[in-house]
Amino acid sequence: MLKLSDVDVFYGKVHALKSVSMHVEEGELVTLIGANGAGKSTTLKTISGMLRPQKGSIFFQGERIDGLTSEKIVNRRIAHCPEGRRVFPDMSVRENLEMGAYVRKNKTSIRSDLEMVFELFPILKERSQQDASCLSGGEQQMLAIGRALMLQPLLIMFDEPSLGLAPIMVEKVVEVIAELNRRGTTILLVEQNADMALRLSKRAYVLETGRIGIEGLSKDLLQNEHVQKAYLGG
Amino acid sequence: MVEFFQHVVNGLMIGGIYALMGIGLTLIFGIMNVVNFSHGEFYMLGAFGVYTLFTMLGLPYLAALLLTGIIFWFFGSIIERLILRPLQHQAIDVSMLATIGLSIFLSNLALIIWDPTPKDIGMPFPLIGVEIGPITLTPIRVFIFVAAMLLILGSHLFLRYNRFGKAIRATFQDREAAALMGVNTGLVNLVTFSWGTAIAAIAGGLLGPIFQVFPTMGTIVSSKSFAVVIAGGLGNFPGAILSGLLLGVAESLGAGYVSSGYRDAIAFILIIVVLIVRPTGLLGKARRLG
Ligand SMILES: Nc1ncnc2c1ncn2[C@@H]1O[C@H](COP(=O)(O)OP(=O)(O)OP(=O)(O)O)[C@@H](O)[C@H]1O
Ligand SMILES: [Mg+2]
Repeated sequence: MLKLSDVDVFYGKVHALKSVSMHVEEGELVTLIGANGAGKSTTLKTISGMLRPQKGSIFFQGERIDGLTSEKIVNRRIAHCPEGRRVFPDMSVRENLEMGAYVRKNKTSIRSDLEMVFELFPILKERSQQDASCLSGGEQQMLAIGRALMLQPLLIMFDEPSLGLAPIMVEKVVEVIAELNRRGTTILLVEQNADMALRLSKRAYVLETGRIGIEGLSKDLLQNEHVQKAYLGG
Repeated sequence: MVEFFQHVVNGLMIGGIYALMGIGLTLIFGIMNVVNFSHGEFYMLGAFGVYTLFTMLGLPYLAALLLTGIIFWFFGSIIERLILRPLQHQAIDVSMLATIGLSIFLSNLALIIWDPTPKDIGMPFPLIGVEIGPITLTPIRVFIFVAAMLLILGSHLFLRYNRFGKAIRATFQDREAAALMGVNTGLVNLVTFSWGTAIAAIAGGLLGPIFQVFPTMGTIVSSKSFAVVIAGGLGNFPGAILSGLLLGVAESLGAGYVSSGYRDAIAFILIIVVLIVRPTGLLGKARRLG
């Protein structure tokens, strides 16, 4: 469904991604792990059109999408739930969710998705008129996830959704991601919490200073000595 | 007491114009990260636009005003596309220098087209004052205030409830996240700048009949608009409205009770005081829109 081939990305002179190749098949939950500054966020930003690759190609559902504006990419129903939540602080919870459906036209199906998100995260319904800045960190993460769902996405990319959350909130996030995947949404998950991510996913890639170091089945990576040392604290 | 209210009413009229200038400047800064030094020149050109269309060509005043707004909407779009867009990834001082250059160019262009002698637009409305209790209002002043308030209210409602207006607010709050929602942030820049330019031109066309029109008239208004924006909190929309109205009233009272010679100094006293007492602006919060 999604396929990156030999993608190179630079920030000025900084070579952030070096010949990255990876793929995500329809219905899969794939994890991308890596240390700080390895290039995980850069990979997601490149897929969603925030950054342009200097080399290589990105295909989504058989069509080339690198070089398209993020607006066009969103229109192909690729949602990107960014690192640090990035909700709109001075917009209400409801307005934030509506922004998630910005490119969609069908009002009735938007409304039913809004109900679906409220069902998934009842707290958002309770707080729908409040500004997003009034929410706790965990609630903001729910909002960011809900906002991504409002696109009715074919593929969702999560960038460190567990970052800075209390354990109980992490659990909730994990539950939601697993549930979304069960319902058929394809997911690309970026995490520093490698243990959690590898248990959740079927396949995984390890990014090491801009290169894909290891790839394979998550259960094999959990046993891999190097992965254990570097990412699982063992 | 009657005199006091008369000053307040007069001050609100000018203040409405400052608020109009301020919201454009503050939105352009908040959304595009551009400090627009040509905002006062757009105001001046708007006054000349109305002078040309109404006084010279004899169009009805309202039509002249409306047409001026439309012309400067397109003028703003051209400036955004040709000058600001190519600079959008540069440091903020690059676009600042560009708008300073543009302001010098525009005031000299006006000098060539309309020559330096001050022009009178002439009165579009009857001069008879309407007495409301002890306060006298001339129709032009009422019109200026009402028009300014309607434009501000319209902008507010647009930002609050319109789909694209919400996209502008989203871009203002987090440009990258807005792009991830599929907002065309380039279009947001274009519309913001065009709208700010049109509003500034209309402000000039509104106030033109009360004062004289000349090529350097934008300079002082420009400085005052900056004062309004800084006092209101950079990028703060309600703050700009509040401080615009406040400045108008303060000027009018200062000129009335102290000395009219101090009128233009009041804006700067106001920013100094506000910055000392509330460094983030009147409404406290640094950034807020709609
Ligand atoms: N805007 C930028 N300008 C210059 N260099 C950048 C920029 N953003 C990221 N980088 C660099 O690119 C590399 C990859 O950064 P990236 O944010 O993709 O890492 P990451 O894997 O997401 O890290 P983290 O786990 O900390 O989020 C880093 O070396 C970083 O310093
Ligand atoms: Mg990151």
